Amino acid sequence: VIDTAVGRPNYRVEFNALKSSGGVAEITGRKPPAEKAPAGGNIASDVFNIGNRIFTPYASREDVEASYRSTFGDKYQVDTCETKKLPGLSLGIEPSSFNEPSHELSQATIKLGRTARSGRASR
Amino acid sequence: MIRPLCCAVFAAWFAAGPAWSQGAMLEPPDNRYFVSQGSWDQKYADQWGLHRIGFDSSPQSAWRLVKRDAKPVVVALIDTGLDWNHRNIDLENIWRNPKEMADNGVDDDKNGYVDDVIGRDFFERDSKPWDYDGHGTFIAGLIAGSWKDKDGIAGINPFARLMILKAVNNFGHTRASYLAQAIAYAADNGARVINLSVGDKGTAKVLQAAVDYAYSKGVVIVVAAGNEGVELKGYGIAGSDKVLTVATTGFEDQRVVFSNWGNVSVAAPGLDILSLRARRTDTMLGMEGVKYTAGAAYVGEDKRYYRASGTSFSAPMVAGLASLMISNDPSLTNRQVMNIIKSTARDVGTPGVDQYTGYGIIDARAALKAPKDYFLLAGINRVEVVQKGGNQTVRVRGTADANALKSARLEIGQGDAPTSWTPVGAAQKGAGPDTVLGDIPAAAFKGATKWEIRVVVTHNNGSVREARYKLSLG
Repeated sequence: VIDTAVGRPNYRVEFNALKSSGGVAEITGRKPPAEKAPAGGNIASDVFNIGNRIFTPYASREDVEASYRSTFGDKYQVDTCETKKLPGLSLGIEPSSFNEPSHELSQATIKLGRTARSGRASR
Repeated sequence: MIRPLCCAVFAAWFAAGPAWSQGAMLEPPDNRYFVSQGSWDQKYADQWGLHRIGFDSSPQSAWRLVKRDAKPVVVALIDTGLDWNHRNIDLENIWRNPKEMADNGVDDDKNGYVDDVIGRDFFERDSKPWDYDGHGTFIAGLIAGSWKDKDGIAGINPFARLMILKAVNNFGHTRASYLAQAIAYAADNGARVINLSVGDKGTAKVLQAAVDYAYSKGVVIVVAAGNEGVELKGYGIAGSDKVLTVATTGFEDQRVVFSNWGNVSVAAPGLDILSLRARRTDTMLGMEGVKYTAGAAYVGEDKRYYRASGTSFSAPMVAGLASLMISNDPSLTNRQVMNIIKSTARDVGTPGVDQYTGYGIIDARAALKAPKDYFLLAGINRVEVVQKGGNQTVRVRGTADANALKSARLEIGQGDAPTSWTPVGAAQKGAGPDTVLGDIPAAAFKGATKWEIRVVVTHNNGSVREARYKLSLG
């Protein structure tokens, strides 16, 4: 970050650690012991509650994800990376996705029998 | 004859006024940036977005519908933190955990977090959620910029108490589990509204679990639709029926091209919005694909203000309104607030509820005037071909409901933008998004390959809401 408002540049060096993969699992009882973590991963030190449900995050690498899945089954999920909704782009600067078709109204294509549309019962 | 189906009609309420309107009401603020225009050589008001949704200085200002002794409401800001030293943020507008002592190293309230007096930093695992990015402070200003700072901006809700939950790092990234913890914290510690201008593709189960939990605790959750210009389907919790998903509109009340579309609830202005700049931040620096010169978005001699665009900044307008409604009437439930905001929104674009702006641009005046149980909902979710009595019919699924329903009907019209409509029967009442509204005989679709179906829902007070669906016959 460079701030010129105070009359001199101000720098801060940061490392974005969240681009690495992680996981989170719902646990029903006590936290699994660390030695139960699949090879290549480790069990984070904390758990958190959502109401009476208990979750624990896992630090991991992508290559051990399959191992996590086999260990924890459906209780395991990738701890997806989320991003802030960055300020919108300046007008006139549009990434390719903006050229993808958008639809103001929902729509569908259906097939109706010719006889049905003419008002006769289809068989 | 079919009546024009634009925005809802509130003539009766405007004439009579709510029962409490005789008491002392707020006067609109006169903060510098609230009443000025052209501060960065633009031709519109500096805080045009607030004016557009009804927060202006006129005799009809939405603020004049708010009691002067309205109640404080806790609004959880799940974002990059807050610059609490900004002069336009009053300490009174920051939530204080009443059961926690500052800096004593003890979890006084035994909620699992030590010294969480104003909120929590879920990254540093401490309770000093300072904003090194600027995104969170910008949003805070829109919701609760202090009216006492006459040289500053005006936030929407002077009764807001911001619970600062830092769950996004200084690069704008986070994980679903951090957001989930923050949402659960907000729900467990008294927040009535959550603003979440964060998200991404895919929905982690842990995040949905947190949303379900907060919703069950009565929290209004407001989510930005996102700025990728893509369909919301499968795009995180945005689009969930338990949140208000907010799209961005521009100066002409049109959807702005970056605003994601799909299961949008409502829209609010989000183009060239003015708010606070956190100390030593320039949040647009380093954005991929954008030519931005450092400092170009600063506003003011002291450079403590900033302008930016995005659904991130439309969402807090809705969160601000939701919180102000609750300040004015704390007995409102989250479902009532969501229903009122949708039902009173001003329809824009193609008539009816649509994928660009949902029910339309929020209308603070109408929302604050509406009876607490008011709702008028319309939507077509999908159509399918079914056999009925040996004949093909087109089954229409969606929503058609009101707290005082006068009628609901299905109609069809030929072509891409029909000008005449043919009634094809009454629509079944149903609040769920997948209610079977009715079956249309296939024979009704003879003579053309392109059609529109619409459901038209009329309230006892005369208000009308519609939703349209395009149908092609293959």
